[in-house]
Amino acid sequence: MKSKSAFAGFLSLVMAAVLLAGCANQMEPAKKAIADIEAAAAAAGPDAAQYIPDQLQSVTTQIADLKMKFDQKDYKGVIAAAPALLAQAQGLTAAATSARQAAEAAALEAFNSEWGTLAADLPGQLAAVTSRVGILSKSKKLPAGLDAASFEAARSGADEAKALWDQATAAQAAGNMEQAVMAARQVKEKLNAAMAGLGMSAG
Amino acid sequence: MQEKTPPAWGTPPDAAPEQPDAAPADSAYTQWYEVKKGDTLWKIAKEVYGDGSLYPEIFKANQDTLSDPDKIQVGQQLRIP
Repeated sequence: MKSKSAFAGFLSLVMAAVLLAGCANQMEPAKKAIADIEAAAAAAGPDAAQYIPDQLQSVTTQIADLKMKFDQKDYKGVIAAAPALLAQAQGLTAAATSARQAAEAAALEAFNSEWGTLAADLPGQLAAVTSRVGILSKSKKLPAGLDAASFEAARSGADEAKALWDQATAAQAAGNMEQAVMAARQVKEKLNAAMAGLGMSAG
Repeated sequence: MQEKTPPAWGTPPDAAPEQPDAAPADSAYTQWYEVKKGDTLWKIAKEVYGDGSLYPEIFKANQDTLSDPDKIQVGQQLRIP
């Protein structure tokens, strides 16, 4: 009798040892699996955060869940879930690149469209303001409602607008649409201010 | 050394005759003025530029509709450069 219970006890010990060894054997693979997934997610870089934040958040949340499983020593569960999550994480790079390229193309289209409007509008406005400033510069006396300070502000505004327009057209010719549009917007602001200062009616 | 004879006043014979400046194409920013009774180009220039003697600028800008700076019509639309 004594030998039977001793044997059962011994058997339990052996089984526990086997289980423990089995768990320990899976710990390292589970740890590596999580590390691989994290590395794949990180490889997507800042583009993922900027262009596919929801997808990145989903992967990040699932990594956190996997880590919780690991902490609970559910290494089997980690290993079972890892392949699918790894595939998702690896897909982030291509998804982020695609989303970035789509955003850049949309932005370029918007710049091109805005440039078309500004390029049709600004030369006429610049000519009108430049002409008026030139004629008033010859005047013996400024018209009623226009003082010297306002005229000087309009004149320097027109000069700055001309220089900026040259920069804008050069940027456009070089294919730098963002810079071209930024400069053209400033031209518009300066010309509007000059026209207001000179008492000219807007188009 | 022989002194050079100064050139005679006047246009050299081979120079092209002066053409009146073509008015720039109108844009949304062309400034217009409607002639009122009693207006002259001088008065309009005085009002807009502060100086009536600048009236030729208005005449130049309206040569497509004005052949004589002294002949403007009430209601006529004039470009004011």
